[in-house]
Order: sequence, then structure tokens, then C-alpha cells
Amino acid sequence: MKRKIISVIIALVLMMIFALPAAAAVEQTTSASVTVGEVISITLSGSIAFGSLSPGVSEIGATGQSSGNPAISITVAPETNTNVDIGIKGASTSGTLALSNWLYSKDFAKTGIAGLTTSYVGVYTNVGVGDNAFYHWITVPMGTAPGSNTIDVSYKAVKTGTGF
Amino acid sequence: MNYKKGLTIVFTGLLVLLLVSGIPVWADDESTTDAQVEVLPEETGSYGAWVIKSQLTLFPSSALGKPDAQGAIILWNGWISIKLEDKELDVHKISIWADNNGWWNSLVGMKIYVSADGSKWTKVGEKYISGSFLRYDFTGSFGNVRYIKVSRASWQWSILRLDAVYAEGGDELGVKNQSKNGNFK
Repeated sequence: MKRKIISVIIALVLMMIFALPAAAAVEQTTSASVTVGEVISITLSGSIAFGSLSPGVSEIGATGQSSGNPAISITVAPETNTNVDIGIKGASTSGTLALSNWLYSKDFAKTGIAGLTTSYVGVYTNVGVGDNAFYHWITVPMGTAPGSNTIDVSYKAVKTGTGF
Repeated sequence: MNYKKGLTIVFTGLLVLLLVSGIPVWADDESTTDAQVEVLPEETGSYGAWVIKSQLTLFPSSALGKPDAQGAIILWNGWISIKLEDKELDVHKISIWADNNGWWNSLVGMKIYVSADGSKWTKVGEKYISGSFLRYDFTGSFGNVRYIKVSRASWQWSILRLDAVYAEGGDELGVKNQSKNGNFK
């Protein structure tokens, strides 16, 4: 009798192990994250040249510049994924002509025309992908020493509102 | 010593934490190009800017501006008076550019006058013009010269052309520099 009972118990245990349908479910969740970095890319096209000028002339336009055809175009490239501010600065490399005589404006009508400075000055704010015009002029005051004058003109794009 | 070690560990830990959690890094892009200008020597004189009056002179405006090998044709006893560009100059030299193409290798006389007001004229000299375009100079202390008058002083059959007139002040350095740059023939 004892043997039969034990056999039944074992049979029941085996049934529980192998034959019972699994009714319970377990779920676990984890998180995944990625930070998309800001991409800012600009390309420069055009050139700035003024040829030969005598002292005593003012606001002479860059060679080849005309309304709708700026001396320099700064293109915010398509891969740029944030709006940007664009600034300009200059650095004298040769000659005696003061940096303030190298003038720029974002339109041919000379709106807000100003001389270059050694630190960046914002010209365009909150612009997206596309072209941004820079027109250039020069003033050669009386008394300027004859000779070649060259400067570097830099254009910088930064995320809008972050400063140069 | 332990205190310093502890601070170093804490500081390093904070740095690592900031790097991992993402310090805001602003992207930007920059492009540079150069700009050039060649400054010429300063001109120390004044060329003709306006024809005030002329007589027996063809194409009088051809005598204005810098020399360009084209000139006003002054016939027989014709003359031309020219106002100079607006510059205050203490003039020490007057120059004219002229040529003369005659039938008999003729020399044609040309008288030069200057004025400060366009009404009172002072004769600065006379030259005989012959052959292709040349510059003829008259030196002296002419003071403030705003007008130059050129008068032909002979009746020969020839074509006398006045290309340009120029009043020069300032120092000699300016003159030399201008010559180097080809402004003078």
C-alpha cells in the first residue's frame, strides 16, 4: 500500500514538472539612448580683390561685385542640423591700411556697412541652410603709404545664441 | 596626504561624470579668405576736369584727364581754357601733353597761361610743339593755379593736339613715383 502511495506521489510530481501548462509571464524593460550632436558646416565661395587704387578714394567695391553677386557667399551646408549665427572678422597680414577701412555689408545697398574688427561681429542671426551674402568695399584715405595691403577675412558660423 | 588623495579622486570622478553625462559642446565652423589692394602713390597734382571755354578747337573735352594719346585739336589761332580738378595746390610746375603733325615739319608755337580765378591770366611760357605726343614742362612759383589756358600761336597748316594739362604741387618724390607708374609719358 505504501509503495502505491509513493508511486502516485512521484507520478504527480512528474506531471507537475513536465505536463503543467506555464501560465505565468515575466517582462523586463531597459532603456537605450543616443545624443545626436550638433553639426554646423559652412562653405565659402568668391574672392575679395580691389586692384590698384590711389589714396583719397572711399567705399570702392570689390572687383566683380554687383547687386545680387556678392564678393563672398557663405553657404550653410545641408548637413547642418541647427540654425546658426554668422559673424565676420579680419586680421591684417601686410601693409599699413587700417582694418577699419576694409568694409562689409550683407547687401549691395550698404545697409549697416561697417569696418572689419579683430574679433567676430555677428552679421546674420538664426539662419538655416542656404547662401548668405557678404559684400565688400574699401576706403583708401589720403596719406596711405603706397604698396600692397593684404588681410585675412574670416567667417564663422555658430549655433544661434551661443556667441562667437 | 590622504586628504589630497581624496580630493583628487573626487575631482576625477566629477570629471568622468560630466564627460559621460554630456557636457554641452557647441559646434561651429569657420572659413577664411584673403583680401588685397595695391595702394598707388599719392598724386600731388591736378589734371584738367572741365572745359571752360574754347575757340577754334575741335573735341575740346579730349584735353581733360590724364594723358591718353588723344587730344583736342587746336586750329590756327585757337585756344582752350580748362579748369583743373578741385585741389588746393601751391603749384611749382605746369605740364602739357601735345603733338603736332604738320605738312612741312613745322614747329607750332603754343602759349600757356595760368589763373587762380579764371579771369586774370598769367603767362607761364611758350613752347614749340613738334612730332608725336610729348610732355612739356614749365617750372616756377605759380601759387594757387585752378585754371590753365593753352593758346596756339601760329597759322601753319598742321594738326596740333592737346592731350592733357597738369598742375603739380607737393614734393619731388611724388613726381618720381608717378613717373615709375607710367602716368607721365
